[in-house]
Amino acid sequence: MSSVILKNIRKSYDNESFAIHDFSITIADREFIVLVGPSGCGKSTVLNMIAGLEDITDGELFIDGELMNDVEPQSRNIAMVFQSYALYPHMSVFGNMAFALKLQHTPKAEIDSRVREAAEILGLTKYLDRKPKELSGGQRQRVAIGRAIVRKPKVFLMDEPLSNLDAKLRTQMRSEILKLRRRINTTFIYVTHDQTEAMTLGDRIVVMKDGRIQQTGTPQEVYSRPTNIFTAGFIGTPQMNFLDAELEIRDGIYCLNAGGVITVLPQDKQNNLRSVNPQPVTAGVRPEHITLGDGGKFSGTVDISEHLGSTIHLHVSTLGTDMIIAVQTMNAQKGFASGEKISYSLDGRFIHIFSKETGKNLERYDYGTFGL
Amino acid sequence: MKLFGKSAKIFTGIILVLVSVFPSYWLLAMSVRPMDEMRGRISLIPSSLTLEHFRNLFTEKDFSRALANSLQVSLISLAFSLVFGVCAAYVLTRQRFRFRAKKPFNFWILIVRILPPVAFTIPLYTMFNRLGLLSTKIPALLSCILINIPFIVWFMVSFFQRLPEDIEKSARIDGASEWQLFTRIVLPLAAPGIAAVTMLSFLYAWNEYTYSIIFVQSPKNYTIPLTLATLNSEDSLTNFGLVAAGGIMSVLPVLAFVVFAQNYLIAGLSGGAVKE
Repeated sequence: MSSVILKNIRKSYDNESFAIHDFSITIADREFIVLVGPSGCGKSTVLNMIAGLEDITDGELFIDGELMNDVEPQSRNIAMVFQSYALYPHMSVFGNMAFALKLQHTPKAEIDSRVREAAEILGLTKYLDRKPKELSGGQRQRVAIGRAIVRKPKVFLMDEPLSNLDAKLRTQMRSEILKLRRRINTTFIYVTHDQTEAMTLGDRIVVMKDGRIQQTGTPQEVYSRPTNIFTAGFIGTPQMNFLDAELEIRDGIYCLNAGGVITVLPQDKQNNLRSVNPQPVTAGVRPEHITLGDGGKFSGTVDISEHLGSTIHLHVSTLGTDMIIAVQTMNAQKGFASGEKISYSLDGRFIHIFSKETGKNLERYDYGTFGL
Repeated sequence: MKLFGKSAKIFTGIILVLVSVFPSYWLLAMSVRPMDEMRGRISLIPSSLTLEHFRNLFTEKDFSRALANSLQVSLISLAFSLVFGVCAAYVLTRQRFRFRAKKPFNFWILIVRILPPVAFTIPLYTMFNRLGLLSTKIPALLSCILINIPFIVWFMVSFFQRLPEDIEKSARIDGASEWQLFTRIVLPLAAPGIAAVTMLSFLYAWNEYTYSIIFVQSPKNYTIPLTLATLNSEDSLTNFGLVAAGGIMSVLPVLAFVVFAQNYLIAGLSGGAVKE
């Protein structure tokens, strides 16, 4: 068992303002959790507090049921991979990977076998005698991961480990981390600002902003049921479109009035919106949930057409705002010209309705507290 | 015109090399030139070589005692200064070490660096006199420590600030205690900086004259700079061979030390540690 529990964790550097506010989460044994958010949202601070590299101002941290607030990093049985690799430049790859084991006075033969096993997993066997400066960026990051896995830690912390790699290597390393996770099967806490990494790696995602948790849930939950405008905009590429609209009740049925076009909301949304008063709202629609077609109730003008291979992103002026529509290339063989008039329709099932005042999603879901 | 420009450059280069190299050559030549060749018109290259000046230096002038005194003062003060200076610089640069005296300590370093060494002579003299140390080598040693610690701290602070802190965090998570982190990670990474301050501090202690001439009163405690000064000023004033041999002997240990310390002056030791 290596669960991690953070109870009302707060962090202040000046005893006046807080960088982390009431951060609470229970991370199950062997769960892969991803803390995601924009730069400066406090995700690395949370990770450093779990690692013991930063003091916890207030609240409690439990690892494996033990209170860890005042335990030194070396006694927490955790391993951490840093964005900057943080390798020991004066040691060989073997020396880097064996360092922690040597400090624990592990027998030499065991150190050798554990390092070689980790090197085999990560494809580093032939580089064991090299110094970090003789390795490429990807190989260095593998060494950093190898250094962590030889220790067989209770909790594996990763602080933006792929951010310094180029796009191709990042994709490759992402799948290797997934394979690694299956192989070593321990608890992972992974920090990233890249929502693609968050969506692909995490069992659950914790979306953070300004030191606060915005939403916790599985990637699918966070994507399809965002709790507020921030999460809705942060998760998903391209970003969700937001429109000014009115939530109306017509003949006892919730409808959305956007630019005078009325869209009747489907039955599940009728249930989720029960007891919500008619009001001005912000409607959110993902670019991939907009359907182009001559029969569409909405119209707009194409400003820019971005051809990305399998999809085309159309930047469209409509309803007094700029909207992005994602079109499958196979459905748009002739392409789009700037200034072209198009019509489109919105599917009520995929419209998210946020309070204009608070930015919170007005829907309530049957499974209890929204976003878990 | 182009040819003239090139010739002028070569000529200037030769002049500059001569100006910088010639004094050293002359010192060496004088130290091995027999006495009778030093009268009248002195040739550029000695016609015969002798080691008599070196022999006289050690037999008549007790230069070996001065050499031993200098080595004692320089190495002991260097060891103290390095241990305290490097540790202090590390503690001052890392935010996890918090103590009240941090600011005053920084201020003290700045003061010692700003004020000329001679400014401390009167308080130090009074202090050493009251402690009854003026007849020993200890004042020379302590004054070298006084000057070298702030210098080492000042130099190493900027060096430690450039060391990536992620490496230290990583070592702490790997299980290193504060001492293991310092000795097994920080010190090896700081080796080039330590080698540089070691050389400079040793040179200062080896050549220190201002404090020694005031505080070291017994000739048996004279260091090399003091002994060289006596060779210049007493009866041996015209014995240029002896003075030159003294000069050469004072440079040799420094040269050996610099060559040794230079091995550690490896640029880019932390290459590949973190993403630059």
